[in-house]
Amino acid sequence: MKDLLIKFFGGVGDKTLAVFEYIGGIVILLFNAVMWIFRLDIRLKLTIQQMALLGVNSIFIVFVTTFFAGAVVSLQLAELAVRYGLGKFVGGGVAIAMCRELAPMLTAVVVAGRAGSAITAEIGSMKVTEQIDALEVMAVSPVKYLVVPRLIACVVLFPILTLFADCAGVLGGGVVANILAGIDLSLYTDSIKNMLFMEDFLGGLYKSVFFAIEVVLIGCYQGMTTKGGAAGVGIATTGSVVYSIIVVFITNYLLSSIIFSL
Amino acid sequence: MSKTNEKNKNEFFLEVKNLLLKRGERTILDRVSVTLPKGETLVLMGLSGAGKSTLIRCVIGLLSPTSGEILINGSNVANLKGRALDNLRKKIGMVFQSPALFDSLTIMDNIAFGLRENTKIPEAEIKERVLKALHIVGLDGTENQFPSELSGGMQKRASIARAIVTNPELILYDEPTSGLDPIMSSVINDLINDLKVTFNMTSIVVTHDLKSAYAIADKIILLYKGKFLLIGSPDEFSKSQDPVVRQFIEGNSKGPVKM
Repeated sequence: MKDLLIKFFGGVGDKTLAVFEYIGGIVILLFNAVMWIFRLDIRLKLTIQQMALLGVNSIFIVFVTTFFAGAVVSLQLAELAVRYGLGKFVGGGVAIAMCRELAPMLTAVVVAGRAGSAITAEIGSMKVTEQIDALEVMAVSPVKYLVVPRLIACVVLFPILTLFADCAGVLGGGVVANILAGIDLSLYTDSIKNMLFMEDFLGGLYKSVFFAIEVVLIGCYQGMTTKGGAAGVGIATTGSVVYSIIVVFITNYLLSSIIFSL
Repeated sequence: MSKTNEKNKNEFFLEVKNLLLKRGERTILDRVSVTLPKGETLVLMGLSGAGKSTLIRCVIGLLSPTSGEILINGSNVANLKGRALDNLRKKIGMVFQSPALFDSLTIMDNIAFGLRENTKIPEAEIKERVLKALHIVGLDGTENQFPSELSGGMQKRASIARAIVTNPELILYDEPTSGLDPIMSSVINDLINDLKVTFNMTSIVVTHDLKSAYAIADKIILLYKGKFLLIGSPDEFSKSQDPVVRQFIEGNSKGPVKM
């Protein structure tokens, strides 16, 4: 019994330490990346390349997911609203749901799955084939060369993708509201104009910047701490997506409770 | 001879003093010491997993020792960080066990990488130096190819070109001839010797290839159970009567070393 308890608490202690070590590693990575950015030692060409790879190629998948997210919100809202004579609130309801919560979060989840995994797989492969060591021995910081371009690319692109997602979601909602519930499109757009405030819209964009930082740092950290061969890269990549999504959901709640209660 | 020259002659370019490296309970390097004058080639030999690659990783600051000193030109690598470590690394080249070429860059960009990042040499001169380095390792005409388009042996040679293109003072080779055919192995051995003669380059070479070791070494070390079992010239090494050294040289499966 005593041995079992020691094993149990020992296990809990080890896991707790591992979590703090992980958070510490991410904070140090962020600090180092910010130091390079403040020194204005930025690889512009690499940053633009990363924007194309991580952001532009995510546009289609962001559009599809958020279009249908807006459509499903509208599907649930529109029929009820029309039944109770509240059709003029559907547009605003969809727009608020999209701009405040769904667009930033879905964009982060989709990009974590697409770009976060790509970041970990690429950096993880570099780690296990000694390319990261090669950078270091050539006196080139892996943080400067690999992390900073990805971080800047995503911090710039996440709000743009979220803006795009806002529009896609509202469009999806509008199509469903019009076709299934017979709500006139001018009523739908008037409702958005009346109910959606700039704060709702900006709040979602602010959150997307935090999500960008989280997705990139977790992706890079997972890659840079990859161990083993191909199997290690696979484990790191899966971990990158899972951890990113968990962290995005938790911080989404925290940020929403701060931003939208002000 | 002037006093300064005499002083320089007596000083060692590389000094490893009581180096201890532990990973958990396991001792990988057990208080090892060695000195190497400038322009000499040290060959590290030993069983797989004996700690040879670990030692050269400590020399270039990729691993921090538990205790002890590694002095290069008087600077203790174990104490250096940030820019000071980078400045030292700019004088060192390293050939990795895996070629460690950047997959996303062409051979030209791979070899020019260090020069472009750390110097202000004009692009035309960089290209000239890269082409010369490629010629030295027998890879003419491959500059526009990507590493994945080359064979394993060619990638290895490209990584040697990347290490030598900056004209480093110290070059670390981690199994430079593994995966190469016997003729190319001899070419690489000749190259290491040429760099020593022409540029007075100091080298540390990890290898399992006895023929290479005898061809290039001024000093051979046999690492065994974390300690330097033997430090000596190739002649002393080949004539050693130590049973472990004999088993290693003769490649016997039977002897004091049990696998």
